[in-house]
Amino acid sequence: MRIVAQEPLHDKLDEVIHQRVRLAIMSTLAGVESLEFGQVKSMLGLTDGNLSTHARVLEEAGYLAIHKRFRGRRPQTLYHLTPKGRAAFKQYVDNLEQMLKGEQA
Amino acid sequence: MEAADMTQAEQAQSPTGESDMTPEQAARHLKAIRELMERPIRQTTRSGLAGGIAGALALAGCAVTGVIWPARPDGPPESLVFSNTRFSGIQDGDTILAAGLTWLAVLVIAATADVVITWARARRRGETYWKRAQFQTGLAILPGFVLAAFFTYMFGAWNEYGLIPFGWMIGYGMALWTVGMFSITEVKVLGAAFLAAGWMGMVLLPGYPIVLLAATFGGFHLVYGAVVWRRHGG
Repeated sequence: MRIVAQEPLHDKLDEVIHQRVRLAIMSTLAGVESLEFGQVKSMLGLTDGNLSTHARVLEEAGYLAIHKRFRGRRPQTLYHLTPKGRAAFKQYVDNLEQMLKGEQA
Repeated sequence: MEAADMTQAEQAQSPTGESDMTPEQAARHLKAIRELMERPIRQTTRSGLAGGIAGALALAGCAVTGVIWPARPDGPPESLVFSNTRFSGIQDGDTILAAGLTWLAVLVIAATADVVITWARARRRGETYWKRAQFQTGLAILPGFVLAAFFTYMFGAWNEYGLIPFGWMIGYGMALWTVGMFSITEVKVLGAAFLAAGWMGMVLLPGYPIVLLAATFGGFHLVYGAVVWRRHGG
């Protein structure tokens, strides 16, 4: 059954977040303060290139911040959501929930 | 998001604004989001070593309690095998305080060990997300600990000190069960075991609080620690 609404809710979905890899990155980071590049990669089963590409899109949108640091001699890349990113993610989830409520109503 | 989380059709249409989305797809998206959000938290809320330490501390607490809490000289013979009769009716404030402080020390040291071990592991792995996970864990265990405190107060007020450990088992079991909702399965199983032991012990074996304290807070934790260590490491 398709959703029928005067103003389609799916039009409100943030396209930057909605892409499946970016949504997975946002979801994984939403529950924590930050994660290291390798952790996100292994949790989501992504390649280096794939993760970097989508992380850059999120960074350009202002949703993701990337910090580089050294732990001993080993370089680390940390990802964390910006306040703007957390707000956008919350809005995205709210919109999905509204779709469900619309169906149940 | 892993392939199993969405259908191929969804994956194909997701990258750019799709023309529509069914409620089923929205529900599947939300489910996948929830699981992805929980995944890193699940990985932080487990420590076999901390479980083992808690078990050892509990056994030490049982030993200390057995020493400082003397059997009633006029009690029946079964009081010598840790019977409830050694606790009921006791009016000696110093003894009660000493036992209370013993178990408070067990709780504080075990909780500190858990936090320190989790923190050290996060540092070792270069992770910085432990604060949020610990905060969520703290919130999750709060109702269970409030319940345990309530049992402690009520049984103490009724002069039924021997029942207090069962109240701790139930409250602690409830706390673990809640944490288990967003942690590894073993935590939830441990919570269920404590809940069952607390209720069944209170009904079937109310005369053996220290034995059951040793079996649950000591034994259960040691088994849990060994299982988590073997399955998840550390």
